[in-house]
Amino acid sequence: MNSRLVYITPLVLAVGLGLILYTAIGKDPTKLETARLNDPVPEFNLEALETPNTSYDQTVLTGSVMLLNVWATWCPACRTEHPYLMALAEQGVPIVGLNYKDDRPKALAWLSDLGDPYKVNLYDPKGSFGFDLGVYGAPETYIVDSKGIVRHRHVGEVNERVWKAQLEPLFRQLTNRGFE
Amino acid sequence: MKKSLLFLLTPFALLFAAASLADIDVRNFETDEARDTYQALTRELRCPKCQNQDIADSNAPIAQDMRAQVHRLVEEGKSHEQVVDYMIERFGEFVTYKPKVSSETYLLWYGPWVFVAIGLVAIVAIARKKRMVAHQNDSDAKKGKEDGVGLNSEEPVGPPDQSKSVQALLDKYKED
Repeated sequence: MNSRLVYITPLVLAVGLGLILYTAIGKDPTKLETARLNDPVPEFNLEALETPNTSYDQTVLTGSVMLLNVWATWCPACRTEHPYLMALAEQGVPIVGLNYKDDRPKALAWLSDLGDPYKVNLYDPKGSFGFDLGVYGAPETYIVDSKGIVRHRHVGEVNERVWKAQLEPLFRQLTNRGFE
Repeated sequence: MKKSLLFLLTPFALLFAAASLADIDVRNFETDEARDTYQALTRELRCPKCQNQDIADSNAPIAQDMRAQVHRLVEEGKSHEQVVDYMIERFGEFVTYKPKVSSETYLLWYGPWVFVAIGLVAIVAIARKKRMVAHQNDSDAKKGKEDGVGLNSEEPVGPPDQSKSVQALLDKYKED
């Protein structure tokens, strides 16, 4: 009886460890947890990109479910996702832009060349709000609910596949909940 | 000849000059203690962008920002723990190389001890079993002698038979 235990224990351990390791297969290690998930967007006070004398605080992210898109002209993937953001804006998805560690004239030129999908654009040249939010690169796209609470973060480009699979279901769900 | 060598080597020298400039932030600290805290923190905090590098080691923009924040917080008189919490609040548990002990990290912290314990138990169990077998052989051997069954019987049991060699020694003494 005792010897059976001796034989079975390593087997159980090996299978257990195998299962734990198996669950990690295919996981992208660059996808990190979102520390701010289900917390309110941190406080900020930032100038609008287009108009330096207007400024916004965190209340600009309340009132309806919206996307907060972190972008910059130095970020190639931002250029790739831009047309898709234009398409989303056309469908009526409200998007707030966070122009992250960028240069104002360059950013304005970008918007006039490629189009402006943003309802509001926040100008964060030092990345201070980005830092508080936990941004570590661009592009990043957050879903913020009508109360200004972070519900999802997507790191990397937003395209049709990402929107359909990850963002839209949650976006719709949060929007419908607001109407009930 | 000498000149051309110099000409060839200059680009290399410049290359290394750039590398040595790459990661030097000039930072002033009010106290040596603050400097030590800063240095310890930048080695313990992990860069979210270039994973598996601490922020002292990384030149990613986010690591530069994090170093600047650590410097600011340390100079404000924040403790080591407060700075770590500040970073975890923003970037999650990932950001520290020393994760907190919580239900999510029990396996990480205590797993190795569990394996050590299992190993110890196994060693003890095996040692006990061996001793028991040896004991059994001993008593078998004695019993065999009493019964008049020869030690040289065909059963090759157990470890080298001590009683046999003892007997041989005794015989030798007798002869002397």
